[in-house]
Amino acid sequence: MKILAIESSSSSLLLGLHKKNKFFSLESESINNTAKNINIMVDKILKKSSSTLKDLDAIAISSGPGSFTSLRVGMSYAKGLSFTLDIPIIPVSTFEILLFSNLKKVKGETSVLIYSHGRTVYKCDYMVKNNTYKLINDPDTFIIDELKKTKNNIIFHGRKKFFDEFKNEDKQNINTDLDIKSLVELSIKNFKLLKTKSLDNLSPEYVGNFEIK
Amino acid sequence: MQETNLYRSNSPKETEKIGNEISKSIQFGTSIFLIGDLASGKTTFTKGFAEGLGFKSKVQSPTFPILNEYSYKDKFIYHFDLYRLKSVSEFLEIGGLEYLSNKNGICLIEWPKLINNLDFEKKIEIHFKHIKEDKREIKLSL
Repeated sequence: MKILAIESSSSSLLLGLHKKNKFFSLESESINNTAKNINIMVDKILKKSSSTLKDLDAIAISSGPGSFTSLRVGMSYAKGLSFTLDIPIIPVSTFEILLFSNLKKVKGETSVLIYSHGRTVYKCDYMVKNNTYKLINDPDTFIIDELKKTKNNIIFHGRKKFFDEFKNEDKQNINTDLDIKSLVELSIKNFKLLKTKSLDNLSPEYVGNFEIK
Repeated sequence: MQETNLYRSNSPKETEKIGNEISKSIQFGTSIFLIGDLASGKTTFTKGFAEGLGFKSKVQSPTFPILNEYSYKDKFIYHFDLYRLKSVSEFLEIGGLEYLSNKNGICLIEWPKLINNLDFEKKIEIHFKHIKEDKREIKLSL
């Protein structure tokens, strides 16, 4: 089984490739350049793993929330590949990727936060028990100050400056980066469970109602 | 707590000079709202502002292209004019949030009413007022 994983929800682009129990990864050198980098990097990772596009069985994509433009670029690229190669796309929530890579460190109710802009973050809550997790509520946007008194564990992705504002001593506060290996592992799991999506009803999860009246 | 500074300008040259001066006290990562009528000196101010930070490109009005981007070394100035945009989602579609949250950039935004309700990390408002002929009043509030 060969899966190409694209993580484009933040300013730098990450790629992963799973090939017969082997794992390859690649990170972009420049930030905010996803559209420029993505073609070149996909070529590079295919070369590195000595495979071709035609070998791929599926494409995994981090479906957001995160950087609006970058998500769109990644998603359109994945859709293009999926359409021409006739292989499925496996969308994985960015919240889930962040939680999965830190799953062993937390127990109980856990908020996964992704920095958006200004003092705004995206939040999604999970219940973690025995290394498995369950979604408690749907993702939404919040101002950081509203969340400071939370009694949940916190997994934070984004600027360190804002992470430092959380000082919940008896719970776990984790500042984490996106881990492409987690995306690959989750997508293998989802692929086996047939949790793939058709092109027509697939779009990034932007989260938040930006229509301000 | 709001702090305001008042500047008076008697010519476009002086407006540029004020822009040049103010630029030196602004950190990268800040968004600046430029509020004022047509021909009240917003673009002229930006010209001086860019010069003050060492940018060498020629600053032009962004009314037609909506966004002009200027770069110098690894720093950026994003000069927006939102006059022709109709909704916040249009602003998001051109990558607005990425520009606003770039730590190495300063956003100067003309006609910013549309995105007034967005959440900003650092925001400064500069009001331009046309007094008569070449006379302008420039009010900066932090």
